Amino acid sequence: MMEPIMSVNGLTKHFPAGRAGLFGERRRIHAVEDVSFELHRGRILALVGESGSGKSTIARMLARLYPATAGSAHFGGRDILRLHRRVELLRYRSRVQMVFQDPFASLNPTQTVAHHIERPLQIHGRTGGWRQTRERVHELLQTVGLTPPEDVARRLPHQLSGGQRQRVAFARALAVEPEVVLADEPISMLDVSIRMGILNLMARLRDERGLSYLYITHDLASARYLANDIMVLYAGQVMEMAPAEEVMREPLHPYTRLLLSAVPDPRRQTDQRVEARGEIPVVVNPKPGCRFANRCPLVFDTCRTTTPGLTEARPKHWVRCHLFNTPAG
Amino acid sequence: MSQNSGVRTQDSRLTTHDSLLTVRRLTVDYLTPRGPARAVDGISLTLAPGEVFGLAGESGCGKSTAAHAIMRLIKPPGRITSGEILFRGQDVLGMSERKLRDFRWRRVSIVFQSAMNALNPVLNIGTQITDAIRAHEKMSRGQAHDRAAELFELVGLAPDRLGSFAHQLSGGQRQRAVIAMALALNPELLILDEPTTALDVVVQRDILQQIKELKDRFGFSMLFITHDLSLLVEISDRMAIMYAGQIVEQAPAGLLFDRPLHPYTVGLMSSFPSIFGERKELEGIPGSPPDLVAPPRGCRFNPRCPHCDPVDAARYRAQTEVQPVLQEVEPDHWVACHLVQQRVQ
Repeated sequence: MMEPIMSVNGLTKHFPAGRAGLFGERRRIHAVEDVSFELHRGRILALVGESGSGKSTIARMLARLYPATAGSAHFGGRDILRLHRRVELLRYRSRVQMVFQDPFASLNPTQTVAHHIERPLQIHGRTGGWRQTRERVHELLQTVGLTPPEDVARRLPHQLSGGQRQRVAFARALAVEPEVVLADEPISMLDVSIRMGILNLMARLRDERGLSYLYITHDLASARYLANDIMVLYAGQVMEMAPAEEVMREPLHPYTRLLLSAVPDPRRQTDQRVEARGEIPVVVNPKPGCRFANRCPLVFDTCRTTTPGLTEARPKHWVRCHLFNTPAG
Repeated sequence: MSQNSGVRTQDSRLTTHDSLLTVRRLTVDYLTPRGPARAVDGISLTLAPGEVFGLAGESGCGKSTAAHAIMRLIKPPGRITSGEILFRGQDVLGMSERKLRDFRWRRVSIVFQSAMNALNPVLNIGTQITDAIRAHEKMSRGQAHDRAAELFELVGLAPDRLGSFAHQLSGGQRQRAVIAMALALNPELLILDEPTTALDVVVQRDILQQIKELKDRFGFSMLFITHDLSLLVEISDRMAIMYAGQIVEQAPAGLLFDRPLHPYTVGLMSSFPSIFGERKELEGIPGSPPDLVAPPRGCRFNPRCPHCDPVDAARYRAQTEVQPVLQEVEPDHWVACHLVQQRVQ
């Protein structure tokens, strides 16, 4: 495998949550715990998890919207979590862009489509004359399938549908020719009939431009459709990571199996019952043990006392579960 | 779940005596500064006792408006402009306010997607449920509380949760509490409008199983509304697909899934990647749903339809000028599409 374009190591985020009583211990929510992965050129890694899994927090740390508590993220030969000068951050953001979930909130209602795409060009000093800028805007609109570009460029966000707005968000992200796009639930607020259009656009940009994505989603089916690799998160930890197809066909972690069995799908052969009820806990000052233990149908004593490490159970197939490995540390 | 094949949905073959709910040519307009937007445009459907009827479509297709209209919950600028709604033969649109009070909740109740956010934040859940029960039923506070505890157990909540406030419950627990409230008076029909859309998938599956079990136990009918076709196929006996205010296809759920005929339904089906089976490229549907103030002439789907092509001039004229009507193209399978109807003839 080639050098990764971004390599994340031990990424951790703890949010302070006050004290337990006036003189009690400090409470810290362990939102993301020791997450490591690599992004490769022209490949898509899906971060899959339910709400509270920590998936959006990871994207936000990588976009430098939140500071990380610990860990590193190497990109372009530097640890981007430790960039502090404005110029450095600006340069980083011209290479790694983010697309958000809500295309209704991420565009300014008083500005035209053209304005939204010109702004990053100006900020990152990519503008020539106005004629060149206009051509570049039209070219970008064309790339994301918004035609005729002359017409779309003049419109205001409210004159566009949700899918069209999300395409504008992608055009804006692409304006600075990034190498990586962090896409946080980019289709979950869109109507079902236009979701595939956005996923196919993302796949095309990956194939034609070698763009890499971190695709953050709660939807396993779309992760399978789009991603090369899938990482399953639970309560801030990576529970399983493997090539997408392998996660679907041979899920190892009991939580991954639970997630798969819960997805509505009439093509499913058997009507399985979900056996692990409940929701992702908020993890405050955790004690050792598996975070999934109290919901796991296969739980045994070790799970409650020792935190399982992430091990390679099969080639390129990592799992954090005592059924498949020896205890960490 | 039982399949009542004796029920016909179209006016000509309608049998109202054995149906629980009959909706005929229901039309609802919303007034906008640009003129009326016809959110529901002449839909007809029937529900048999004990049946689960699924209504699918994208945002703005009119599925929620239809549900609100059935409950007489349409408020200005919305207005039911025409049509008929019969519940056990009683005319819902003609009911007085007093009769409506009895009709709502006791006979038909509704769970909204956002209902879990509509709980009163300053009253505990138990008080809200007992108040609701006592508003409809002569009961002492103690009796109502016992009933509430019983309901909580039914929906999988510990009865001591009755003392909790909304913010102390997770989204899934709040939605369970809302379902408990909806079932408080043993309604004959439960309308579920995107009841699990805001929830995580594991919680969704759990709540759906619970609803199915309750339905089997108490025998109420359900009108289940969602944009999630996979989910709807799993839970419904019969289902209808709505587009731009109209029903474009209706059939038993299995048949609709195995053999969708309307190009819009076919497009929707290919908008959902699967976690099983072969990984193949999916197209979705080009374009976006129409403006309901000025919908396209002819078939409303024609600007997005892959089969609307000027090459066949006669058909093209029909597609762009004549509104197709819902026709039974094979037993129990109704489609409003010029192309499908032409193929069948």
